[in-house]
Amino acid sequence: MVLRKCSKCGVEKELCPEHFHRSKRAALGFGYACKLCKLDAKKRWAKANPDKVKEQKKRYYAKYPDKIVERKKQWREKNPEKWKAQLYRQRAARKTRDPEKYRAKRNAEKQRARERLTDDYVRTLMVNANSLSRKNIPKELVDAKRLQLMITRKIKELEG
Amino acid sequence: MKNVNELRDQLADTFTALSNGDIEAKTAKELANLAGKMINSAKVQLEYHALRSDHDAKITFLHSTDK
Repeated sequence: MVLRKCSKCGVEKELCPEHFHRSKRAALGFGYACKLCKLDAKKRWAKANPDKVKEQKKRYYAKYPDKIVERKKQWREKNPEKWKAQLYRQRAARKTRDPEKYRAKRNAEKQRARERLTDDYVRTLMVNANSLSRKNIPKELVDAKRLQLMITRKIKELEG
Repeated sequence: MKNVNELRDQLADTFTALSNGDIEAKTAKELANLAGKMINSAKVQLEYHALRSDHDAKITFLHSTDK
C-alpha cells in the first residue's frame, strides 16, 4: 500500500482513486492534494465567485439541457418531501419580495386554470366542502367532471 | 352508462352534438345534470372509503371496464 501526505492538510492517505484525483502530470498518476481538500477549495472558490459559478451553470445548461431536466426530474421523484418544501420556500420568498406582483401572477394562474379546466382546478372543485383529498379522485372521474363543466359552459354560452 | 368510462364517452358525444347543434340545449342540460348526480354519487363512495382508510376498495362504477 503506497501512502501520500496531502499537500494541503498534511494527512497521510492511501494513494488510490478514493482519496486522490488522477493526474497525468503528477508523480504516480495521482494529484498532491487529497479529494477532501480539493472539494473544500472548490467550495471556497464558488463562495468567493458567485457570478462565475452562475455563468458556468448557464453554459452547462445551454450545452446539456436534457441531461439537467432529466436529473432534476429524478431528484424530484426521489425526494418528493424536499421538493415540496423547496416549492413552499420559493413561493414564500417571491411573496415577500414583491407581494403585488405575486398576487397578480397567482390570480392570472388561477384564471388560466379556470379557463383551461386543468386537472388541478377540477379536482379542487370536487374536493371543496368535503373531506376527500385530491389524490383520492381518479383521473377518469376528473375527465367526466371536466366534460360536464364544458357542457354547462357551452349551454351558458348558447343561452347567454 | 354503467361505468365512468361510458359516462365520459357519453358526455364527450353530448358536447360534440351540442357544439354542432344536433341536440337542444335543454337536452344537454338534462344530461349534464344527470352526469353531475352520477359523479357526486361516485364522490360520496370515494369519501366513504377514504374515511374508513379503505384505500384498496373497489368501486364498481369507477373500476369496472365492462361496456
